[in-house]
Amino acid sequence: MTEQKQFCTFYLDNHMFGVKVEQVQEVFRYQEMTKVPLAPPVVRGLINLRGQIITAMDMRQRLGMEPLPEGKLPMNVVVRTKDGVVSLLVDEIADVLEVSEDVHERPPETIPDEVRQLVLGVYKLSDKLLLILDSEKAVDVNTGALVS
Amino acid sequence: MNDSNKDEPVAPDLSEGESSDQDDGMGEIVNEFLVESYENLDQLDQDLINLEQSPGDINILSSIFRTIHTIKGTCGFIGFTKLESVAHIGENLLGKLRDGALKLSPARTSALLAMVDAIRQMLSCIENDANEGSVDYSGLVETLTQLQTDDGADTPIEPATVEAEVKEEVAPVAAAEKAEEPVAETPEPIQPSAEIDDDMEPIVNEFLVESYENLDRLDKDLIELEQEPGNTEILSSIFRTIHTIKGTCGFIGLHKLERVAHVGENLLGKLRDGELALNPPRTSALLAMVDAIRHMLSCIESNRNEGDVDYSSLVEILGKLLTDEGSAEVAAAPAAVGEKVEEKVEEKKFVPAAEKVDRRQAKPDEQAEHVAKNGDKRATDDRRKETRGVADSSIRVDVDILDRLMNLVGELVLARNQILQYAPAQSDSTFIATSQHLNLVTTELQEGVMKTRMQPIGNIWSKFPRVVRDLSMAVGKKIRLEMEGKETELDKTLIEAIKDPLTHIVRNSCDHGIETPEKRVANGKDEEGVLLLRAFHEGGQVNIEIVDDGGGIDPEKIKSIALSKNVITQEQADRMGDRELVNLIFAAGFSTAEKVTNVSGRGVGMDVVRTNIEKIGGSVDIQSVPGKGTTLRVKIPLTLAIIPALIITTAGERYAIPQVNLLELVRLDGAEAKKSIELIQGAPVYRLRGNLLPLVSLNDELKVTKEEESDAVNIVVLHADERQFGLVVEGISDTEEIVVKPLGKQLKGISAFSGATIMGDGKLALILDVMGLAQKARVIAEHQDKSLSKESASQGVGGDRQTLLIFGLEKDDRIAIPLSEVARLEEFRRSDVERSGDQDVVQYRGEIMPLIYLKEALNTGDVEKDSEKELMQAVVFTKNDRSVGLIVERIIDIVEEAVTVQRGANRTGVLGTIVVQDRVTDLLDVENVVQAADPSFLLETNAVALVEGA
Repeated sequence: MTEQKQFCTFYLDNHMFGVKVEQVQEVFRYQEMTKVPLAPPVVRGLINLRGQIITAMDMRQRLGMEPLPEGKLPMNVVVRTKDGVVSLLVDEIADVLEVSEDVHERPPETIPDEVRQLVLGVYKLSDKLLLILDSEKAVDVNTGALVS
Repeated sequence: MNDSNKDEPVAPDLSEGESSDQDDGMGEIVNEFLVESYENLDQLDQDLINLEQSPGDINILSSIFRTIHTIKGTCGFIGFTKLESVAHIGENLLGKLRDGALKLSPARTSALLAMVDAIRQMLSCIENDANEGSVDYSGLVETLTQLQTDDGADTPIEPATVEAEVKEEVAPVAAAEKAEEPVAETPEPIQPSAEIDDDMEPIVNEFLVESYENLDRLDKDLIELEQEPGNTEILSSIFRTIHTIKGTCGFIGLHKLERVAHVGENLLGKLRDGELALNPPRTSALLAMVDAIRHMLSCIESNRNEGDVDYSSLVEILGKLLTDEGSAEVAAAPAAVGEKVEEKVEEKKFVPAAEKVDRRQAKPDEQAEHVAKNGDKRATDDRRKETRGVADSSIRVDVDILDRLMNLVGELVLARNQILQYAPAQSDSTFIATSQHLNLVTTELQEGVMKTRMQPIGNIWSKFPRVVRDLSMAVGKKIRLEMEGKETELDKTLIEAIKDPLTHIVRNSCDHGIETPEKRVANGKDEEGVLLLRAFHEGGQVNIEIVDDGGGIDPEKIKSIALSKNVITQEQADRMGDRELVNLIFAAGFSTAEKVTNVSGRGVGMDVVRTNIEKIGGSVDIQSVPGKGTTLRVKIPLTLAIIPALIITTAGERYAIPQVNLLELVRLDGAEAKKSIELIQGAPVYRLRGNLLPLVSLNDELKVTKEEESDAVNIVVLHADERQFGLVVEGISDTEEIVVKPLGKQLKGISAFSGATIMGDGKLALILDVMGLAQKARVIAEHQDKSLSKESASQGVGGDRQTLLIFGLEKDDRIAIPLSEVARLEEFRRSDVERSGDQDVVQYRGEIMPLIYLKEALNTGDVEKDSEKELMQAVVFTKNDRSVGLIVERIIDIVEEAVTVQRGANRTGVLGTIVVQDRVTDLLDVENVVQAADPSFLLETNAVALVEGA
């Protein structure tokens, strides 16, 4: 019996991503954000989550993808990290998936650097690949793609 | 309260404990021990200083002795042998001081303080690394030992013995028992039945309160222990309680109580070490012991002695239970034991003296009867109630819980704001009334919760006596520290935040402020310098003053140092006033110590102090009179969590500006704005009452684009770091109480924001960090020289700032008159002017007021009395109830400037020439002019008053 892991999955530019389900506090639809001038571009704004102020970060921007097409609104995946609670803005929220360690692999060397830095591993699902996002690194503005 | 209990559990890592190991069950005990000990040590510092002031004070000595003893006992128990040995030697020394065998000398005090430091150091090692650290304290131990024998013959303990004792105690197994032996063996030579000394009274009371608390827990613990006999945590807790009681008893001289506790402790010790197992007879005996102790305590409370019940059989039983055979023996005759113990307990309940045990639960009539019988005891009873009251009426609460409460109240405040915004639109009167009620309750709740976080400032002051003493010893000065307003309260986070700045100021005052005794005497001052700390509430802020009666600050010295360190230029220095110069000590990179001592003057100086105080929304100001002393005044807000703020809008978003940074608001209409905002090398400035105010555009700083097109300019005048600047915003809304929320780590790097808040409509607003914004806009750094010179120009060498009225007689001239000399500004119609003799007069407020045409008086030109202008401007000058009107051509401005006469007078009626708003201006000699024009005006009255104000 191999180990099973649960991931909360979502889509970014037609790729399926996931974060460990234990890290996810909640998910919700688009909510209006307060823009923060001078903030790094990946920070899209602040959200009032029942009295708690959380930072919303654009994962497309973070992973070096094209911005979301005009008129489409992102959704929020709120994760708990050691840097506090942060909302990851994603295209669309998918299911919670249970996957087996059997199909796990290290991220291939050939994928773009800014993506590889933030991806913990790849699960080979039957119809597609599931990229596991390192949420700690993803919310840390001092690492990865942002610096360049 | 100490923060250490907030931290991660201490000592999970046992692998590296080199001098002592703790087992897992101990973790909590160790934590508790640390928290308690830190508190005790702070107390200790203060006590020792007090003791030095009044060496004979038995109360202080007792308090010290007890603290050290508690620490020592607990260390022995937990197994911190190194710490224990240090405490032990200290305790021995203290014991002798208490017995009068030795006298307190500065050397002894210093050694004891060093011991306190050593203990503190070890405690922090324990906290961090779970061991006592590797520092060798044998030197300290030796010194302490030495100091016990200095007085020679009458010292009962030989140095060798002490050494031996210390060594013995290093053996961990026997440590606990050894620890208390010195106390048990060195009882005071008091008769066993001795009544308690009056001096002891406060100590005894404290002891009682504490012990009652402990006993209640003890009962519970013992029962629990019977359920799970192997639980070391419970055992340890019991052991410790009994040990504390025993130790204190021995010290106060309650030997009967001590004996009972001692045998109980022995038994507990064995149980703890696993030598014996707990069985029902042992539990019963221990419970009986607790009862016995409680009984004796109540006797002490009401009669001030231990009562006359004989506990020798209890002691005997407890003694027997120490061995398994004894226990078997007792168990073999269960009836006998049970009975005996029971009997003991029963007996106690019926012994006359003992009836007080239950009196707390007694019915009122019984109590009344008792009071009637013992009317004279009433006072004691009352006191006891009071003491119990104190113990019962306060609880310790974890700071985290308070923080959470505070957050929740913040939420509530927000919700309240939302509802209040919504309420006026409603027609339902019940709803409106309810929301009003909610408003009131929320406000009160907010205040209430805020209060729970308040702590008296005395908590951080308590370490200053020690600081001052050590410092004054180190630099050979005599300094007395006085404190006023210790009870002044402020928020815990603020208390923490001002601790270091205050310490720095105090050190500075001792090191630089107060002179050496010789110098003081030479200057005709008392040999002993006084440093006064004063705290009080004023206008919603906490004021803290640090006043010394030392040499004061010599502005000239400051000037030369500032020049040599390139803090200011020669030109600036020449124009600076004394006060300005003195405040230079807050400039970055400034240290005035002639020689750099290890005490202060390490380069990081008062500039850091000021930065830290301003960081929490406070301000600091210094005033100094050379030769007399210096006063530093620190002002800080009561709390940081909920602050009043001004809400402004720019580029469609709202921002909050903390009210502490706000000076005033200026609104300029389109045309006015174009006219009055000038550019210096592209940098916009505005003349605010004659002073240049650098302007910063919020839109530019935040790199956002203007949304609404409007000609009007809104300027928010702010101050940061002693500088003023104007922030140009698009709109100004309102002031509001906001709840400060921190920003996520991703945004921490943006200096322009200090946090965010949730507005009444549920949307967010960023809180502007005025200081950061000023730095970002380089108002502070780049414009520093400019504003310095501006300020100094206005300060001048000549004197204080004055408000001047500027007017003109000709097209381009400017003449100034101190506003203080001006009674009113009036306009008169030419047709109202009448003649009286050879003088023009007007009727003014029921009097006849002579007019003086200044043009004529100053010989600047002919007066066109028939000028086409119908209105005349008059400056009314009043002296001794008589007024005269000075007719001028036009009133220009009122400015605040320093009067520095640059050039002497060369005309009548002019005192000299000054520079106002960068323009040459004549300063009018009003009295001269008036007298020349109308000699009679002032003659009747005292001519001495003439020069006043000029």
